[in-house]
Amino acid sequence: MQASNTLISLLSAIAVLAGLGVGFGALLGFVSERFKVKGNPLVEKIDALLPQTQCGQCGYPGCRPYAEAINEGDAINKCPPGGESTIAALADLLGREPEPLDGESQAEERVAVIREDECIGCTKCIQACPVDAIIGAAKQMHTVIEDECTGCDLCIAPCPVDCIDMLPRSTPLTQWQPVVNASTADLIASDRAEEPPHVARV
Amino acid sequence: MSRAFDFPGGVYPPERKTRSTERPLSDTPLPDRVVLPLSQHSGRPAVPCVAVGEQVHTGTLIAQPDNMISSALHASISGKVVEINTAHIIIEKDTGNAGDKKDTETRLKPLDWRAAEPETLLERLDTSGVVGLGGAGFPTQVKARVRERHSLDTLVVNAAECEPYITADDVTLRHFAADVLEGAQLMAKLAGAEQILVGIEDNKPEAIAALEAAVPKSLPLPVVINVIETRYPSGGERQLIKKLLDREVPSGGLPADVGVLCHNPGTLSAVLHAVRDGAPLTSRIVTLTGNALARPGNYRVRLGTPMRELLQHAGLNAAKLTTLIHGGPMMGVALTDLDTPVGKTTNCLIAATADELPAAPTESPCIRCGACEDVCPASLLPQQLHWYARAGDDARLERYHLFDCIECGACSYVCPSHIPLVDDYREAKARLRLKRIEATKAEHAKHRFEFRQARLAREEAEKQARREARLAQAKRPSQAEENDGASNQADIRSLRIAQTAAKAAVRKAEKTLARAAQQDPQQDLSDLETQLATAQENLKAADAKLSAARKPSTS
Repeated sequence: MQASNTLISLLSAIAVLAGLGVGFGALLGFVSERFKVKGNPLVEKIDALLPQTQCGQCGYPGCRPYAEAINEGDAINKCPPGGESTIAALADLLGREPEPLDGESQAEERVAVIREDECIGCTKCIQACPVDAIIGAAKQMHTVIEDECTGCDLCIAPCPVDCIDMLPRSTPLTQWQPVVNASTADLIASDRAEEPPHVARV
Repeated sequence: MSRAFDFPGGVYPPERKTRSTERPLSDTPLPDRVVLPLSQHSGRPAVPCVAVGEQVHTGTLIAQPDNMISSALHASISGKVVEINTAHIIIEKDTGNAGDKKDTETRLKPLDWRAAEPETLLERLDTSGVVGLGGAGFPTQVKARVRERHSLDTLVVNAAECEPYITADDVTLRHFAADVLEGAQLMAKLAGAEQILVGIEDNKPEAIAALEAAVPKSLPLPVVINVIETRYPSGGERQLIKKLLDREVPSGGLPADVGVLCHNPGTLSAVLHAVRDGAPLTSRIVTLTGNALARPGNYRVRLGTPMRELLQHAGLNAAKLTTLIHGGPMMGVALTDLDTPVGKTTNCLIAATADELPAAPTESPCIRCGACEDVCPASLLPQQLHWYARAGDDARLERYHLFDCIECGACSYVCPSHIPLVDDYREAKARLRLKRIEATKAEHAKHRFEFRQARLAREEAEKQARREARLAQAKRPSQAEENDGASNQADIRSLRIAQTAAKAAVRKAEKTLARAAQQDPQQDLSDLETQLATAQENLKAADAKLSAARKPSTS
């Protein structure tokens, strides 16, 4: 009698635990299917920090492939359009040491401009443009849509008549940035300039 | 309603208002030459619609609004257009024989606002170039349209005018209280409001008396005058709404979110003139004050008049002038050029002497006294913002709600270390805004790149499909294909999965686009459209690959 009671309680315990195991297993399986994260979220985050000029100066065909390469362990200092600030942001995200930029940084934003009377209409630049910012047809003049151009330079090399220039981009007045004077608060009195720099004089 | 609520913080700077209210309102002489900037309002600059050399009259449309948030611009004197560039249009009065000709004016057809259709009234506001004359210059027509997305119950006439020196609204109310109230009735009708509330500080007794005399004649909505204590910055939109109605405008929101629309008295009288008289906005009332002027007062000024002419008319003593401030002493900007033209948002010019507004003493380090927190009317933490702005810590600035700062200058006013706190905030805001613009630009370029990749993949897949179809055609007579049927089947299955995924992506993109379009039809949807096109290209590529894989096996 007692033996059968022990057996029953033993069996019931096993049954309950097995049932719980199956139940939670099913739940986990369902959740992992239902809330599956597609792709690697870290690649997305790296891609978001890159400037998306798609210029290929890093040696990869676009920003997304470079983001994937960084995730695989490639260096984070290969993006000249992003400059030091992008390197700092990437180092912060990935917990790596910031490295000096590999290549020359660009001082100002630039935009491609086609000298239209010299264009022969070969469409080579149209095929090279990574963001479809050049319009035109075969044997017709081409031109660059300024707002869409990322200033990547990729159209310069294919042009057989060298009629594309990279010019500084005109910034609208609404994007004007105030000229910041260094704060004098931390200077001792003898090092200060005579007059506070922010007072405008007529 | 006599009950008044309260907003946090605030300061009591010297008012210095009486200097400019002693002289009655008068007109300044017509300028010989006006410079009319194309961007005198918030939003996009207007687009010129006249040519150089064209003859214009006062009130002739010279630049049209560009896009949704923009405003029209009208000639403010009659004469000839002499210069047009990307920033401004210059008009010169005729010289020679015609020079003695009087100023000629063109007006639109007068409208009766009680009878007219709302759409007609909105269009009239749009074509008359009326913008908020209080300082921000938001196009009034756009503000009148908020009814389309918010339900409103109260129209607030913001007559608090809390900044020292400025009396333009005070004088407008003294002279034209009835016009202002009629303009308020008009805007309330357009907005669908049920009551009109006038918020006015107790330091303007004459304006209050004029308003009280005008209230009984103002129909059809009830008008309540709410006299509030004089404290800076009670004229801030959010602060006034809190004070009058005890409603708090949410962070990053608009007064319309709490059912309120705020208008400045000057704007309301300009609205009425545009509708009742058909007169576009070509002049405004400007307070000219400061100790460097012999005849301070309020003047009706044609837009585009060079400030030098105005100040000379008011008796400028150039030797005593040290600082010229556009706007009030708390929020205004110091100008470096006396030839700057008067714009739609110029409510006050202060020609100050060195004793009156002395240069700020040299800045010292922050001592963490907390005085700035006590006076902040937006309940922010100014010293934290100061540290983070100087350190360039953009993430923290956003977390501490930098964009809720109204730049009232109360913190800089009380700072014992004389730190120009508001300058820090303005600079940080400009930097953050630029960063946001760059982020959206990068996002846009990314979508275009993805679309191009998808298009190239689709073209490649279609080419492949055609090639395989040709091959199959050529091979068919010789032998049926028996090669690796199993792997072909597996290929087809994976291609079918890819096709289903592409279909789902297209549906998702369509849904996102539809939802965004429904939420805000005016926003820029081009990025979402590109995303949808990308998904469609991907689907086409998958279709092409699938049909290419199927053909050899079925043949």
